Amino acid sequence: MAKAKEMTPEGNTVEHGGFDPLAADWRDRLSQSGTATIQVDAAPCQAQLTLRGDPADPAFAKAVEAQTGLLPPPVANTLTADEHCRLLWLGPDEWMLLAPPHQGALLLSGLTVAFAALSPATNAMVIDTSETRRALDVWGPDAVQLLERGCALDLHPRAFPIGRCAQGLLAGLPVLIAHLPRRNGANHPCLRIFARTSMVRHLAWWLVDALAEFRRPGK
Amino acid sequence: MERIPCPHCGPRPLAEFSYGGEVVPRPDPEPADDATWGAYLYVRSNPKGPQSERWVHIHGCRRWFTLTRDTATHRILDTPLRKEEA
Repeated sequence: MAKAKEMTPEGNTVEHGGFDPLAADWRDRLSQSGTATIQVDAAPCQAQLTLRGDPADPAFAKAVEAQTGLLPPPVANTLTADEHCRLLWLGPDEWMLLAPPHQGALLLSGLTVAFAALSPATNAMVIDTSETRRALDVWGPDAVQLLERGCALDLHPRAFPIGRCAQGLLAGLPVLIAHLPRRNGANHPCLRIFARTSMVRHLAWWLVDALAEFRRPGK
Repeated sequence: MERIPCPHCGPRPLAEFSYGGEVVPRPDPEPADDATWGAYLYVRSNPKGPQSERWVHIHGCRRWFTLTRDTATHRILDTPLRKEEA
């Protein structure tokens, strides 16, 4: 089955370990479910590397910065970003590095070598978890209202501005939500929701179902 | 829903957490006899009132912490410690 390869600034949208739970039919279903005030789409597939280490150890932070150009975000539930990569806080000693797919292998080997060269007193590890999660993007003026139907996190921009991320439950699923300034090169902010690859269709179904309410007349 | 103060993420709904039970000091296994070890594994004080207990933010940052909760009122009585060990 030949698929068009759509290159985006963030990455190739169709390569995800050969299996994409949000392939073409799902992308159509999601885009057709959108309303005037809420849009939903599959996020571009990106390399996801899990980094662990002590953020207070300058050797670790320096190695991460040398390889990725980013420092681990100093504040819990925030992210740092440049035009290629993003580094999301997952725990006090754990981060997720998002990178364009074609950079994943290079970053993984670069970080592995850099961490191996650190002194034994420095704890650091990197592992490729690209297949673990698949992401959906939700954007538009009523996007937060939609997610509030199934999420107890306060996603209002005053509590969850651009540059925040948080892990919690959405529609019963453990998710990671990040508030990003741009989506796929388009200049509007979006909420990117990462769920387990095996469960992301449940989330897609839930979003399609929850959107029905916003298409009612008068809404 | 009751909210639990995660030391890293702040107050979050109870559903994001798992309960790890009362904090019980671990005896040195070598000199401990069966009764001491059995008590460590199975005996809990089950107080009505303040109890020091372990929680894990399982659907959030996945870190363990210790807090004091009143078992009768569910009121959280202290700010959890930021360290991993009790």
